[in-house]
Amino acid sequence: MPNQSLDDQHHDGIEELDNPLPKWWVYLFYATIIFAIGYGPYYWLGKGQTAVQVLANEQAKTQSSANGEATDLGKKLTAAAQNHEVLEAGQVIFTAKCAACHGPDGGGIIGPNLTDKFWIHGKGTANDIAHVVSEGVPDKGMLAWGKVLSPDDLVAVVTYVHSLADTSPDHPKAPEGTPIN
Amino acid sequence: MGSPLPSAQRETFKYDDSIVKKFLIATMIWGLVALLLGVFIASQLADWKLNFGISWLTFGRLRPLHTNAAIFAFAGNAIFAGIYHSSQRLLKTRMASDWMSKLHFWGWQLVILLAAITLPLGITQGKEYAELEWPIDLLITGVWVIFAVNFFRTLAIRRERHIYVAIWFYIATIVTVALLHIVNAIVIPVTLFQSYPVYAGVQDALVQWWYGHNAVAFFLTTPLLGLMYYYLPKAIKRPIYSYRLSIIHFWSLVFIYIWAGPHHLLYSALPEWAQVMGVVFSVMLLAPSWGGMINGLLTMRGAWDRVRRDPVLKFFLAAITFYGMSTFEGPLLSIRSINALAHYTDWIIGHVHGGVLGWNGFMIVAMAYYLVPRLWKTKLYSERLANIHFWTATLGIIMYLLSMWTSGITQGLMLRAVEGSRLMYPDFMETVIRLIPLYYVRAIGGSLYLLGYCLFLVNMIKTIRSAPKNIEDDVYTATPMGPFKHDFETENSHRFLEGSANIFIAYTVIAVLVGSVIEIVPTLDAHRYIKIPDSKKPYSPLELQGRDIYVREGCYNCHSQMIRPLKAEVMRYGPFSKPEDSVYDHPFQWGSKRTGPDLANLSGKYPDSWHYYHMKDPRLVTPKSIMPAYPWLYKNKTDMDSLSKKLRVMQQLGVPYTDEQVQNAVELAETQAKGIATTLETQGVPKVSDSKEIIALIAYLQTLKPLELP
Repeated sequence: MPNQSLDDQHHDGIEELDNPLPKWWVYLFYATIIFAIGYGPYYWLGKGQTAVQVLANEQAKTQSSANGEATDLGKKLTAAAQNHEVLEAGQVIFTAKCAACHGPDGGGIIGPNLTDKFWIHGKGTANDIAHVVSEGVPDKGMLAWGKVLSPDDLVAVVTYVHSLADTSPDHPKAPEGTPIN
Repeated sequence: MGSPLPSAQRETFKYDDSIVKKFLIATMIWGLVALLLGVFIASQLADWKLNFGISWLTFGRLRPLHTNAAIFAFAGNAIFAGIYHSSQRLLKTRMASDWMSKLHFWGWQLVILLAAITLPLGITQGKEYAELEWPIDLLITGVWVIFAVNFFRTLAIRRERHIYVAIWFYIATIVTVALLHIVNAIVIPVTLFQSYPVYAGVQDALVQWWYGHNAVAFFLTTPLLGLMYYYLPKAIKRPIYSYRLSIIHFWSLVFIYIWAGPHHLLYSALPEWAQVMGVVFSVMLLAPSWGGMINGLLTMRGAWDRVRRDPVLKFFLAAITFYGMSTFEGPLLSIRSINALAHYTDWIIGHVHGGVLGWNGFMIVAMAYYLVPRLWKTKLYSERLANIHFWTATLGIIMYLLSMWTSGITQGLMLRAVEGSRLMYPDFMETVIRLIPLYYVRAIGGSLYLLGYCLFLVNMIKTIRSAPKNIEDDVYTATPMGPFKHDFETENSHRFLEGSANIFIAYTVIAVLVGSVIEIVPTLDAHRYIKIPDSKKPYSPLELQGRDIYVREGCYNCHSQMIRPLKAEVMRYGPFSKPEDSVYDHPFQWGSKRTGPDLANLSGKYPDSWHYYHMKDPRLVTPKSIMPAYPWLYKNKTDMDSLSKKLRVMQQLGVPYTDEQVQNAVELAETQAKGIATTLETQGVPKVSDSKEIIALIAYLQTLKPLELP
């Protein structure tokens, strides 16, 4: 094969036109630079609030509005006990969140049996159960659900747990705590 | 360039195409590996059972292998193939040293092989895309230096005075990747398989994302742009649209890119000034990036009829379009209000895959479709098959992107939804369940891309098989460059730079150093200004050991440890994270993705027994969890042998351990382990052995708590 001379060819034969820069592109570039010149000093030197400051303002607002939200748990629990829909909603929550430790029918696995007459914390009243569900028992592994569940969901699941008393689960765990009369 | 010299003074030479072929074949093989891994781990997110309860198959260990394989093995080998092929032709010379080329090739394959062995074993530095341990990092440095020396020597013996724009991009790649890799990889070894980085917490985060972001810039963008400037005009046989655009977008890209790393750390504990820096430079990056896109697209203008027929051009067009999309999406995601929604979600995963599958993947196969028939002196086996590849892969990418955008925005909105003073979805699981169908769509999209890639491989194998038996290299002649003489009459100032490669290299180094120095140097000093409260104690020996297990299992791939100062986030997780929290963290584990919830405030949220059951099988305590089970943590004994050495290294790094603690590390760890085992037993866990790894991990997880500052 004859030798090919490359002396007359540059950049492996690639040619380059020298078209002007597209106008819109130049303006786009300018616009971003102007943005940068405004944005940077606004946060570095000017009034720009840091994320922490923004959060502090928001939290101040939220707190003032949250003060009026107090709910009467006791009344709600009493009303809910008669309500079939609330019981059903409670069962759904129980299956999703509680069954892993307390068994699908409340017979207990890692956590204690919820169907027998033995209670570790309190005497098994709806209010006692609500307290344990809401605050948890960190030392024993019971989580505090008050922050996770909405007030309505809390009422529903407590109502459901309360309704489990005296049912007969498939594999009841041995009693723990003290018997109630 | 003066009058032609008599033929006696002209030199005769051949190009080294065998090295190009080697790198091309390696590209094809590793591309398949990277994609297979991707589809596999994507399927694990859709169905956790695909972790199989085997340590080296879990998501946390394979995801780093997938990213490393895609970036350094697939794209890496392709870049080298293209650079070796095009540079020789653009510089009119054979590579300066054949043996250095070969050493580069085999050295790089060894790096990849070692990565493929060590990452599944959990040997990792725990920093994204920089997971490889120090001996491999040293090897990478050596191989890169060989590559650089070979390239720059080739540049010195070139027979074409003015270096073409593709070469500019290669130069920027070679110098910057070296800088990034070396600075980010500075560690103190503990053993052959483990080390701690010299940086901690916020420093480590900034250095890491300066590296990580610019790995995207200088490993996945600049070299590919160089390849575009060579292969696109060759394939389409048309001139580059604008020389002056190439000058402006090259220098602005190289200068601006290096600053943008902090956009990975918006709303984090990184100082506010650096975050703002990340925002403004990311926004300014839009035009320089699009400069490359429009120079590519306008080069294709007037040849659309050929684009319709020719699969090579089709891949180029789609690749450049995806490049434009990704580089628009990048600045968009850097806007703080958008980042607040999208960060930690699948939107980011979609963003990177638009870049890697669309831009890199399509550029690479376009180059291969162009190059393989020419190198093997034959014809492409089937254009039809290439067209099917194109449409299959494009459909795959679209499914991938749409599912990840939807998933990211869905989860982002759910996690921030607040009703009055309550979170609307306080249970993280609720948001995960919604994403599972999208994870299936993503896995199918990825599989389609993989299928297209397999068609490409068949096409390539058949093409190479059809090559003639004895391929002779072409012989060329050219006149040597001769002594340097600047022609002020015809050369503008940039033309002068193109004629003096050394000055060009020096300018490039300066361009990338400016941003690096301004951002990193003050941060390296930042810990001096952080007042560490007395309540902040270094990890106990057992906790440190647990932390190493956390790093080994790649927990950071799915869990962050960085609570942002955002309303919904503080409601969900508690006080936001501050620089003080991770001041002893070598390496930092802030993470970049929340497939699971943030862990920065995990301490005390659950009892030890919860963690014990959760790691054994997450479904025991969180039904519907998609996290893998970690049964081996209950079999493996905690490694106590290296504990004193680990503390000693930490002490050298400035973590305030007393000599007593270093000497008594094992005893301290054993005592703490016994205590945890006892706690577990009182919480009703049967038969606990205090020597197992799970105990150390629980010890670590129970330390994760933001400091409450006055």
